[in-house]
Amino acid sequence: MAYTTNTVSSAAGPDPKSLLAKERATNAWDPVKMHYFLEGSAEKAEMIKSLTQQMERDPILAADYNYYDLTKEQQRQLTAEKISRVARYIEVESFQDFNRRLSLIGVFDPQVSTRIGVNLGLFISCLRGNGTFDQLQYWALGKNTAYIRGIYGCFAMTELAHGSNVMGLETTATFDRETDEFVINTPHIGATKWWIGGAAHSATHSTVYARLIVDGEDYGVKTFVVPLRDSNHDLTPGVTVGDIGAKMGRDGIDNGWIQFSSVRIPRYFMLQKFCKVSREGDVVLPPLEQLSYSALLGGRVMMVLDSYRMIARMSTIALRYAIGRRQFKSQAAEESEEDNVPETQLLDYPLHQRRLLPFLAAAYVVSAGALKVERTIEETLNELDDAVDSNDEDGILKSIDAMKSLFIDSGALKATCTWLAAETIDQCRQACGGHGYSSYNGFGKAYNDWVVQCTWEGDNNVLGINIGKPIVKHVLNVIDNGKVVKGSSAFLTHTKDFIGANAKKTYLNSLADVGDLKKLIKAIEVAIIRLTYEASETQRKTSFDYIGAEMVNITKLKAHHYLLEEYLRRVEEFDDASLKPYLILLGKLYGASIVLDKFSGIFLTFNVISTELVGKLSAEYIPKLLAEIRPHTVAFTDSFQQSDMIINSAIGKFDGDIYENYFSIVKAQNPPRAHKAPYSAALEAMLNRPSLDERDRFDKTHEAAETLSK
Amino acid sequence: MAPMALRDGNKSKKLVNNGPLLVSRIIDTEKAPQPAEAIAIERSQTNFDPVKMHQFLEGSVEKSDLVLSLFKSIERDTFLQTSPEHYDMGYKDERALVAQRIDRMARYLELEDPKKFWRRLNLMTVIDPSMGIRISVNLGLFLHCIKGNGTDEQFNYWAKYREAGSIKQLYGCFGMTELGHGSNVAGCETTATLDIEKDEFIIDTPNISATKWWIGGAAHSATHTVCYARLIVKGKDYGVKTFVVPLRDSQHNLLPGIAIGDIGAKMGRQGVDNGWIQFTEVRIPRYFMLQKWCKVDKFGNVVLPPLEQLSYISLLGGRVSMANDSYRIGARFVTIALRYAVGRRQFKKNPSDELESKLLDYPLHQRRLIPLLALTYAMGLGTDKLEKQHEVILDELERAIRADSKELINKSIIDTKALFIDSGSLKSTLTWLAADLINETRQSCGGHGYSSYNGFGKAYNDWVVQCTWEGDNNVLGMSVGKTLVKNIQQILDKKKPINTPSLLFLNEAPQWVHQKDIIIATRRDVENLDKVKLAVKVAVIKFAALLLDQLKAYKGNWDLLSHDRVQLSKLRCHYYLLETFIERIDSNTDHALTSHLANLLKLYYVTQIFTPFAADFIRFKLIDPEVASYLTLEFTPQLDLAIRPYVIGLTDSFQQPDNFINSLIGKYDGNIYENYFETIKQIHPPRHYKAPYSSAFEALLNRAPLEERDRFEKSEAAEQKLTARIEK
Repeated sequence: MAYTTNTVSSAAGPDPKSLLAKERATNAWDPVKMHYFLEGSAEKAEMIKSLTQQMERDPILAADYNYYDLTKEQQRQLTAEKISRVARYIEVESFQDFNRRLSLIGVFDPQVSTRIGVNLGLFISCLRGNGTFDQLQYWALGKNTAYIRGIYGCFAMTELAHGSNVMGLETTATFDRETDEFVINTPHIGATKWWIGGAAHSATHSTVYARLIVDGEDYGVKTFVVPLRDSNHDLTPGVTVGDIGAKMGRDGIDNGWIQFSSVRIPRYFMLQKFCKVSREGDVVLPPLEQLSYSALLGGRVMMVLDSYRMIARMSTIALRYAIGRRQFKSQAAEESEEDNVPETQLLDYPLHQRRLLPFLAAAYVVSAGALKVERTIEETLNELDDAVDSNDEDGILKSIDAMKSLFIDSGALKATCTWLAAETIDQCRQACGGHGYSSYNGFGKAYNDWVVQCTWEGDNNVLGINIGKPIVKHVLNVIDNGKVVKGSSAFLTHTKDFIGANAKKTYLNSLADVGDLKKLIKAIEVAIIRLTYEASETQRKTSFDYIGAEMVNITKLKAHHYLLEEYLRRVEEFDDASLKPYLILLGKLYGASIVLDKFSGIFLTFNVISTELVGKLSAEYIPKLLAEIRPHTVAFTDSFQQSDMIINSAIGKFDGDIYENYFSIVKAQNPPRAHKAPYSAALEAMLNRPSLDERDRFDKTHEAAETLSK
Repeated sequence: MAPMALRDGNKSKKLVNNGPLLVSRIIDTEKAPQPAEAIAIERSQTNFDPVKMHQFLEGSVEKSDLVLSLFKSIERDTFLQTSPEHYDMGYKDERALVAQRIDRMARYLELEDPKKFWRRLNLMTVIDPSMGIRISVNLGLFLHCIKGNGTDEQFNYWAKYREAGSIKQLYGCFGMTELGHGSNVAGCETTATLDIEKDEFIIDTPNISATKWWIGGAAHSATHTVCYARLIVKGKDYGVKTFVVPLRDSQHNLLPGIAIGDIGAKMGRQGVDNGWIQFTEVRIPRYFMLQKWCKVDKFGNVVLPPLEQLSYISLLGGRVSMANDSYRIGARFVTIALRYAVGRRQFKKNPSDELESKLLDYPLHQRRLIPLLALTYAMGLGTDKLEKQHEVILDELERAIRADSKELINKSIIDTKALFIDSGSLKSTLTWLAADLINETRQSCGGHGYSSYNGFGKAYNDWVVQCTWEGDNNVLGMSVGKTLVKNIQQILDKKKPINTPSLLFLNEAPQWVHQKDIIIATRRDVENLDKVKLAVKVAVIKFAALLLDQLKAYKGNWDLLSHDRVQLSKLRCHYYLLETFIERIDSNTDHALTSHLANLLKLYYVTQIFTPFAADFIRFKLIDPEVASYLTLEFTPQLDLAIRPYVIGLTDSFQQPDNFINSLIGKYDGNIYENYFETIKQIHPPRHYKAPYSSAFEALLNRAPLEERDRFEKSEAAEQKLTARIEK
């Protein structure tokens, strides 16, 4: 019997919308309040919502579903239009608010934020990090670059044959004393600047990383402002630029390659905050070479924040779907006495909870670490700038120390969180089955755009080694010289208490231990210590290269330690006590699943956890936590306060009307009226082709055979 | 020609090159890196014949020859060959290209013997998965469904008389999944109601969630579908059965009552015209129902199938192919990444070194890639065995049915059960591992891995749906895990041995389940293949037995075990690969290959079994924790180092030509930078240095200052004018 609602149906279908509504109605807390925790303060949270509102109403910036159907060329054009639109906001708001805006755009259209970030982030950071105050003023403000006007900068660091090893770059900047100029040159194909975002179509200028050569001596890689295009946007002589074409993701970015053939720039286009070259060619070198790479730090910190928002977005989609979607009947439902038991909601399956809820926890835990590292970089860079401006040498040295520890923390977090986010997108997609594969549900583009975060601005594996190495060195120093370690790795000072005769002592012996986050954090410290100690012993016999894989694991554990510690601190100081128990639940799940379960091989090998407990962890403890979190899923995801425009997923909308939303979007994007393909004629010709004999002109028939073999 | 006759203000400047210019094909200022040289040198160190190794991998000389002859045919074929420009295609163009290739394949189909054609399709699927699946939906899913569920006459009619089997006249699609139902086929909601009066079925989509969804070929190609719908006769619902339903007439126009649409953009496989279908009281003759097992006569009497499980055998072929695809795609990407890792240099190990070190000379890089090489070998051998197992069973079943022998049919059923388990655990485990492999190899090529022209992005996006379709990996893993636990239950609790051929080892459970002595107790044990095999076997047994105990504790609720059931299924897959690898090495006669295979085998089980499952091997007391630590800290790097000098030979052994690999940084000659740069310049001529949208961008940069655009309304002058009276 048919009946009519919005359409005519002949049998009742599933009603995903009411499932979500029902769960939402039982929310145990106000998501708005929880959002204050996630964003660090009510003020900031409100600001973020207001910025989002502005953008979801903006005619150009708002994301829509057509976005998923655009070709590479269309994406590039749309990205350019969005940049033009964003430039109007930057003229009328504070840089801080603008940075937040940019970070939010990064969630729903990362190619826009990257294309702008290359200019305002990397290009200007490079000026700030390496140029004098006057150079920064001239290029960034005097020329209106900071307002995306006049000139557009790009960041010409990587080369075709050199990525991670900045010191090994081969482009040269040779001083011509006679004309007081530098000659910028690409010596061979391998030194071609490659992957340069904005180079293909947008950039008028570039900060070029090139080897400073004066009187035949090579002073290593320094930075130079090199104009690429004149004010008519035509290439300057000696500059060759090309498009590097199609990419796995971020097609909206005009990445390019650049070759310089004896391009001359005035000496004062070299950035000379630390390294200076005088009119006579005298060179003054910087106190710490790494200072000039500070340009990359801001990006790393931003990527940790991006990770939080991306994990939040993806887990919201997958969890809303898992509540609205029914599939099979669970054993309990099968055995139920009631009639007509419907299929079971996906999220009521323990496996589905196990697949998704740890990522929900990750979003919460990562948010805390992201805020902390964001705060730290702001303070550190300001202190450094003040010290340099006032020529305060002690201040500079102190800043250098702070910088070094920021290198470690931001690097470990960048690597660990961007990997975690990539995994989240992938797992959330798989958890939505076939529908996860449709572009309109957001996962595909998000993944393809995301994964480059694991490679650029410090390849995650290279970072893993760079950060693992000082930790191993600390341990070597503690063992050999009784060194006292400071900062976030201070716990390494007690290495000797956990090795040798004490190497077998387990620290997690009962589920109560695992449930105590302080003990869990301690256990991570012990795991790091013992793993690092073993690795350091191997290193003595071999080399640092040899223990690369261990150093990457050490780095990951270090990041989890930082994140959990900061999360726990934030929860403890949070002023709304009613929310704490829920936040602690997520912290426990994070510790148990993302740390202990994933690294169980290490925790067992080094006796940090007892053998029996590992079994219980997986069979009892994690399922129990999942079951406790399950009823609050909607409240937890609503607390991210991401509107439909940010989520931009047909099956992930707030109302949970999965099938109606999805079907209507698919029909709007692909009107069924066009029921024949543009290439239909070719298909039809294939199907309706004459028989093979006829197409062979009957040359192979019996008759032909007889004639031909007479 | 006369020279410039004027003098200008620009003085001529001296050259400041840092040395003499070097002229070869082009002009360099310094010597360029020579990646091709590095690869050539390493290639010359190969101490075995890659062709022989290929024959070993493929299982026979004949199969190896067939594969190579098909590679040759494909790389020369105007339409089938790959081209780097294809990576720039939008999805509309990709679909047209795929249609052209299908047409081309249809011509081969008319001429080649089926075995050769299916191998061709199998190889084409690696380089054009969209094309592969578009053909497989028709020849595989559609026709297999008719073959599995229809009578011989029905199959002959549609496949032969109507020529669907030659991709002619008809094009079939597979109308199974619905918007609201994927994995649970039995829950489909589309109805097929018998109208006794007219002797017709009425096919109907009752509501939005029953809309057929994701149907490959539906949007543009298919003329017919096999529709999975609930059989309803006289008000009674007999469950889901299959029906041939025409969608388009011979002019390719939609039939009345059929609504079809394109489901649009996807993460990958954009070349496939997946569509949705809604049926609104579409009538088909009763004899369009497939009636091999389930029969409905014109009076509405329904006979239900005796052996319904046999009708699902049609799905197994797909699973076997996907396991095999995992090997070929693995080989393709491991080759690219290893060639790049030999040609690419990064950082100097010592400041005094003249050149930077090759990527692959870093132990971490070896650790990231060489285990994947070993995995690929294991996948190649294991899936070759699975393929043969499948062929044997199909022949067996065919013979059994022809002979109408109950005994033979029963044997077929037992063997089919084994194939369900083997193909289920291999499909799910290996498609996941292959996805990880593409991802990891991409990351190992750094930024260049992100460029489309190097192949990773498209391959990944096209690949990952393999983890979802034709049996979602988690659903399959759970089902395999459940079967294993049930078998253990029968053995341990009911004391009844099982007879599923590939699970016979479980019958040893009583002997091992309480095993207390650690099997791999010393460092030397790690290289003792008998102990290694035993440890993995006992791991499967103990794991299954543990789950059985938990099942009892959970009062029989399987859902609470699901996570570990999937893990168990993975472990079982590895046991299959391990057994096969050892078997094959034992029967190998080419001594030049032996040491390489032995090292790859060891690296395979250490990195793919012992390391990822370390916690299980330790808690089941199969490996001593100190040995586990030795495995990761020392043994793995040693094996990596032992294999390191031969990686070029070992990847050349996959015998995949450049056109098949289709990656600018992964070519045979290893001339990474020139191959990559020159092709990109061809595809994107630098002459077009302004974007098509450049004027908009220039207008942005050269816009007037804000005050001017605000018409100076916020200027002091304006303020004075606007406030003059108020202030007064």
